[in-house]
Amino acid sequence: MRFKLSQLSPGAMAAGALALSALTAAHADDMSLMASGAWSRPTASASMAGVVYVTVTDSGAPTTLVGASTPIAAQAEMHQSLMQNGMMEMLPVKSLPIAPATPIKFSPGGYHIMLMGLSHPLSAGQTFPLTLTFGDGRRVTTTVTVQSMTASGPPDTTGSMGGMKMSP
Amino acid sequence: MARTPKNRRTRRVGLLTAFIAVVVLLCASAGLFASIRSEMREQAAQAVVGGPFRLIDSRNRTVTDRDFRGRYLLVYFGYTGCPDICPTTLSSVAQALRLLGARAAAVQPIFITVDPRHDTPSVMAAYVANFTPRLIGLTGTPAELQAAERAYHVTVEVTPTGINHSAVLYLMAPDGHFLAPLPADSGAAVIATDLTHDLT
Repeated sequence: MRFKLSQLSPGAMAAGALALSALTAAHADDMSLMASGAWSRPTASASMAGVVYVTVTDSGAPTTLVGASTPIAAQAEMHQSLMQNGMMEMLPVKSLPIAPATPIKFSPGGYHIMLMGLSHPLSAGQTFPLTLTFGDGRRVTTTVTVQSMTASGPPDTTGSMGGMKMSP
Repeated sequence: MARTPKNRRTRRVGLLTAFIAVVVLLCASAGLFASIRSEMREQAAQAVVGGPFRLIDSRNRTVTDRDFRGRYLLVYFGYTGCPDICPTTLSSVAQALRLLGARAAAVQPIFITVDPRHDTPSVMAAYVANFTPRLIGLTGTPAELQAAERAYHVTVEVTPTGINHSAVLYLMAPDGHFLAPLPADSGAAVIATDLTHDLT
């Protein structure tokens, strides 16, 4: 039987229209960029620095990751832990190139996003949003999960889009 | 001056003396050089890492290096506000000890703070509990901690965004002498393997 538009209920049409507008409105939050597996560690107090690890992939044009922000911290900065002559240094990173062939992986002991001026201490189980901004104006927002202090990698993916949220 | 036989002899004696003097000088320098080198080599071989420390634990009790004689020590310097490398390293240590199983009982992991202002005994207690109940956190007065940092050749550099510090796991033998350094970013498997080799 052929599908007829007139057979759709008004509710279904409204839902369809909403979905369509949401997709077209998300031009700044580009679907070619993906942030996955974003996680953090607990902090004993809000005066301590928080950390975020995440994997960022780009299936569109090459660009650079130039910043991060979150409503739960005054500042979010990219840093690199670098071992030099036995001394561990934390170097600020202004930008990181990203292209389809070269994703960015923020992970323990390497690149990480440091959060300063937390609005509250982080405890295991909490989540908070993190927005990544790119040199060409694209951005992506994802949800960060606070894991235990001894976590060493992202939480297991459940198959659903657990870690990703696109904001208009 | 006329080259009389007497003058010729004097010249030859003069030359010989000069030659001997140069040779003696060369030998002396070589000897000096050799002795300096061997002293440096000796010093390097004895590279004293570790030594007496007098710090306080999470219950405000005084703890010294002598309290740990009889066990291997795995010593790490860091601070609780360290967002990335310290939690990563201490997690690896905890995991390495789990991998060691029963043999882990011979190893005492110790975490010494480089940030005494913030890392009070109670802050340290809460922090180390995150990794393994076996981890002992030590703090102290700035002077006591600086003495420990010097003994372990730990460099500390305070910056606006954090404290840079030597990130090395120091493995000490049960009699207190230094066994081996392990890079802090070694990972649990490497730490466990190294410990297995060193625990006899």
